[in-house]
Amino acid sequence: MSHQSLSLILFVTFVAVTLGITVWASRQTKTAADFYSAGRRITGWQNGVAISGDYMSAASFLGIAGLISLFGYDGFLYSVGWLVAYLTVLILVAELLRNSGKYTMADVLAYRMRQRPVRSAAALSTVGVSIVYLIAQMVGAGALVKLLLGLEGDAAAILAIAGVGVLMIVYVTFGGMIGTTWVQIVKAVLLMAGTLLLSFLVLAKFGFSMNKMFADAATASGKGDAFLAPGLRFTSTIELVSLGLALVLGTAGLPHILIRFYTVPTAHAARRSVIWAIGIIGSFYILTTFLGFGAAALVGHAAITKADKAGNMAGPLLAQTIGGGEGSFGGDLFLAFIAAVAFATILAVVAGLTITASSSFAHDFYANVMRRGQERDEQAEVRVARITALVIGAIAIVLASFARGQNVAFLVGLAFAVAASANLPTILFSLYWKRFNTTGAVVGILVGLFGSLLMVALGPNVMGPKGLFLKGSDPLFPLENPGIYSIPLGFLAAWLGTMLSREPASEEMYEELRVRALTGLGAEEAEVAPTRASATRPSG
Amino acid sequence: MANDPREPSRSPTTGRLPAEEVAAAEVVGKDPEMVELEHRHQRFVWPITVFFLVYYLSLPILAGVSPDGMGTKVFGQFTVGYLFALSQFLMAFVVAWVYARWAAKRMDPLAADLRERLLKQQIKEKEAAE
Repeated sequence: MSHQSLSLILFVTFVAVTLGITVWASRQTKTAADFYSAGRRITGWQNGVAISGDYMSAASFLGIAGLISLFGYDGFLYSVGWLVAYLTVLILVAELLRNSGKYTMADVLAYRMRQRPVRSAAALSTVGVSIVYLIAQMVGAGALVKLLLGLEGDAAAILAIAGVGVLMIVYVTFGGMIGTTWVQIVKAVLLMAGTLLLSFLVLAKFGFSMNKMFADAATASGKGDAFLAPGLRFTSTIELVSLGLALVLGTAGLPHILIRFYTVPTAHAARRSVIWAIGIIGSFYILTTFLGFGAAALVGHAAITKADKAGNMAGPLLAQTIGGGEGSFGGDLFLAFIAAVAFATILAVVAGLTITASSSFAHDFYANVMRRGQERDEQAEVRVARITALVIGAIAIVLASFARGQNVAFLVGLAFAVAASANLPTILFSLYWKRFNTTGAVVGILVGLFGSLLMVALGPNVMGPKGLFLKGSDPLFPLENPGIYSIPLGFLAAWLGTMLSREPASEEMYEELRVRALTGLGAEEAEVAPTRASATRPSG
Repeated sequence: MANDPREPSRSPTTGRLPAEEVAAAEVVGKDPEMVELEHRHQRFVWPITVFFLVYYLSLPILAGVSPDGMGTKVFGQFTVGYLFALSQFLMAFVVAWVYARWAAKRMDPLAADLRERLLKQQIKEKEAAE
């Protein structure tokens, strides 16, 4: 049996299992609280595993391994930044957010502000960040399917992207948050198991000597000792710090991670879930050492760039080599397994992102802005969320076709920069600054969002000789990742907007917010699980 | 504006109107236990945030400023840069552990106490109003 058919069988099996879980979960979805936040019945460790599942995307599994395999040490900087980022979430955001919000990131931002403008801005930035993040996942999926099916050319990648899009819509429309949570958990376990196994086998190849692995990787890379030092991917300190800031501050502004804290019953459970996530994610990122340096030593630069020029296929190729090489049964089997894990990873992250963006649009924009003052129609809200999922999926598919050929970790790094610039200033000011007000929140979000997107659009990866457009001219913005400029810009805009106006109502409500955030008084409580008898599906 | 358009989710425990919550919160905000809770929170979270950000950002800064220094081998093929990167993982685990311990010891009991007291007070007020 060829590796194509093997991988297809494994992949189809996994999809069948996850869809089964989703269908099961869909029967549990009855109210809006169920759809958005799983009835707040998810436990701390379950949520921790689900956060890890949401977080360890194609960027972590495919992207980082690829960057390390091509550039050595510099790729590992992504692993470090993406873990340390969880301290920002744990210490400054998670528990206070759990206590002061309900369904979406905007709940916290709008707590003491005027609802309409803040919710509109927050819905816009949630959709914006999610789409940038989705593009990266779609690019990873495209590369993977091309490798799996041994297809050449653009048509295959576009087909793969469209396929992921359809699956994602099925997940989100039927499963809602409970389904997505379980998909994340299943995927996180598979991903950790696959990575541990692969890392163990890599180490075994080198006689359990990391020293030998590093030495062989350095030799095979052709770069020698430079492969084990910084400088092959990033040469400018500004660029390094810019990326570092985006990574470490971005997570606390990622809507799809933040809404996970609404699925747990208490702030204490929110804390526990971040601790779990730090343990799982930290272990995973340490293992990227073996994936990346292992691929550099065993697969080699030429084979990695032949499959995908940005290195995204280093991990799956490593599995094939470890299993016995191309054409061997072991190699095909292991490639199929790791590819199925990677695919599951992408599907799960795509589902998490899509449900976040669609929830935000339905809850923040449709229910609280468009239908404001009217009686709440939860069924219509869920319907709008499902339609939004379709539209967002379509936009991401189209944009991803332009971003093909970029490294997935790099692309997700951009989503982090946008999240840190647009969302983090407003989240922190809402929770910690009494004087903060509606003007500040709206100006901060809009300037951070469009400022960071503009810097990416004018940067070296979109315009100029290395970019997509205007290859003849130099990029107008010098950095690949805009974090060092766009994040302070977001904070500055939020501060300036605040100082331009006074809003006594917001200041008066600050005390209430703090009491609620710190003690949990009046916070949303867990729903009592509906019994079969009482759980009647509301009609129309 | 006659009708202020903010409508924070109404407290499920007290069912009070937002305006009443604000008035109550003003009083609670000056409650000695709340003041102490705020004090402890602010005094802990900002210094530890500054610590981990400085520790973390020194990695990209050193990588940019001194790639050769980071490439120096400490033992075998292990470079200063790789060991420093690994130390970041250790730092994250330790800081998370310290935070969790601090929150459990210094915040949770006080917050639970205050919450219980305020809840009783609110229920009493609600009964009196009825």
